[in-house]
Amino acid sequence: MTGAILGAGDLTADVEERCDVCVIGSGAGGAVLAAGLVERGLSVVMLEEGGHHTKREFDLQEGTAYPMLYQDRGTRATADLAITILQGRAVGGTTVVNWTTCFRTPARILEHWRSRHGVEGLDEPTLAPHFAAVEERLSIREWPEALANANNRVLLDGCRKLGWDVGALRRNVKGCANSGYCGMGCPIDAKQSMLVTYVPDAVERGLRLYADTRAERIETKGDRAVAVHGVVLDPATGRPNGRRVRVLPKVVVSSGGAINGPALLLRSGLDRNGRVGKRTFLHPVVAMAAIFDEPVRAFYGAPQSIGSHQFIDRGPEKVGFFLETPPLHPMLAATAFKLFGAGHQAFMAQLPHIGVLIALSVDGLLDRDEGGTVSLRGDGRVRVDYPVGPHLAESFRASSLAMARVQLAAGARRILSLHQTPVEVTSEADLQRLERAPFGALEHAIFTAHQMGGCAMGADPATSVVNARLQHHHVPNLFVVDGSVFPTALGVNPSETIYALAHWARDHVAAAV
Amino acid sequence: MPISRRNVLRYGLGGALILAAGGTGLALQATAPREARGPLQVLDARTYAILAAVADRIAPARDGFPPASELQVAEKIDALLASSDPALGAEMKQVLHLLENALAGFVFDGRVRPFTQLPASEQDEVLRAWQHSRLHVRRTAYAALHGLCAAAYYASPAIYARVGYPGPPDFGNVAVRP
Repeated sequence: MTGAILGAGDLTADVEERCDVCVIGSGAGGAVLAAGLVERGLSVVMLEEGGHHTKREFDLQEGTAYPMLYQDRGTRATADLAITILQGRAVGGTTVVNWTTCFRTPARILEHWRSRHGVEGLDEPTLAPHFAAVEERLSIREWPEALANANNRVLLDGCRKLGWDVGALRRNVKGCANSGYCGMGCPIDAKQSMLVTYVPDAVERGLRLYADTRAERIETKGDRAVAVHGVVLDPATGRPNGRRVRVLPKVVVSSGGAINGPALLLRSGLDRNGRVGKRTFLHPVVAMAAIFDEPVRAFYGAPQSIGSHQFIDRGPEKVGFFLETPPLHPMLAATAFKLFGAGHQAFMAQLPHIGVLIALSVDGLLDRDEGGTVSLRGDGRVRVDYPVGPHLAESFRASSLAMARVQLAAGARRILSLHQTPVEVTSEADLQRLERAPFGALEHAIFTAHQMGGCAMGADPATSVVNARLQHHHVPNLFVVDGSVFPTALGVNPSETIYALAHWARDHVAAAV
Repeated sequence: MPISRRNVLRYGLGGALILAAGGTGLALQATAPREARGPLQVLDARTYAILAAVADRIAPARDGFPPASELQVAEKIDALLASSDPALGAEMKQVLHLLENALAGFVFDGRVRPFTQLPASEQDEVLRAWQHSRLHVRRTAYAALHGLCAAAYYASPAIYARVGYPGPPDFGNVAVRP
């Protein structure tokens, strides 16, 4: 096959494609997998509902980037709107807009998956060569501490003063200008996203990628997946334009991520044990804003380059968390701060002096923590529900206190929580106010940038969706290769785990053809 | 016996039911009109006027900040809804009807005038009551209104100077948009 990326403008008639493998989704999972499959001489067709956007369109304005590059035009959220869901939607998936932080999967998580979820064969030695390969291709390296922006220095200096664990993060960048716009599409292709690495690698070897094309349904006959039915979307409205893409593959791979992937399986009637969309994990994020006398300019500089895992393990009955930093551009800051009118404007007027820390809670590790649920609404739209239970609320409180301590140690003049009525902290004595504040859904801003689970891998077909080789328990020529297969959250940013899992899965998928 | 606010809370009416009540009796009430700049795609004249009124309380003219209406916040939200799933636009209209509706406002809060007919300080009280409401559907509605209005307002380059943001660097590779 001749490789190509085709968008709605190229698709003037209905299309039918026969191929070895149809991969649905072009993000961290689908792109790495597809590149490996074409390298093995297989014919591969990929469907991607997002558009093919390149650096020429990345004008670094939030008003352009979020509607163009994020799910639901930047408005995706849980059904109660308590949790804002930042998730990419483009050729390259979330890797086009993520903040570049890369970690190998922690050994304790792999061991937890083995002992609690029966995931055999996914250990550090098995994955090591796959991590090495993606690290090489994506230029994953430590970002020098000396280049950290002032917002990341708050985390570094504050943790050091407190004697807490802290260190430089690794990023998938090459020739990074340290500008701070990872979340809006890299303007100079320095970020080694799928858009500029594995996707073009695969197209060069024959991948046919249909952009603006949503996979509506996987058709099965008995226990075989036989076709994938796609509809072409009008890029201006996001609605079907009447054209269809029908793929007849030998093997189907769902790589649509932890929300759209389970939704596709549900629409396709592929939920034979009631587990699809269950155990959805989000690394729910709470944040604290600190105002400094000196300018911080958290809108500039690599957004995320320092992290702390001081509180990752808080004992058997507690949800652990880790600390990182976000970029702070006007729109993102304004939506996170819940006041309106004069109070909101007074906060926004201090933007250059505001530093923000985020705490990501590690969900899914406690025995009774089932996380959230992906389901379908009556009209077929995807729905995400995520209850904030007492253990998570306790982690929100503890992590907010930890962030405030870091900010005080780093010299913040004034610290504000993102509660409906912000809690103000100016000294250690004020921390008790934060202790007493309400934590939970719709009490304060909550975000997620890490969607995981919903098609969990595991040994038991009654409690999981795919086996430990990512193969569907009931439909053997269907694989799931993305973050939805994680049985729990990771406790680290998930992109590199997805890259490596997809790299490892290439042989299993190829063998099924 | 009329349903008191307390009873409604105790009965824990579902969000959908409360939203559906948003239209009850609304036809008899007058919404303070506003003129949209340009044709509307999803909102109608009434829901536009309600949204524009909300936006001007979330981002009022004050201390060097232009009012949301000057930055065409409601028009921008209309355009966003036009490129989103139609269900989103329908839900947004329901929320705006519920906010405007004096009848629903009377049942829950004892207010007798539509939102758009209230003085600014009372509009702020209504928004604050929704933000802190014991009814989750009202908190959710506040989240939707706040999120969309704050996003449309602060994504406007016209506001960058006022918040001390010099704007993005120019890498010279992006065609200037109309």
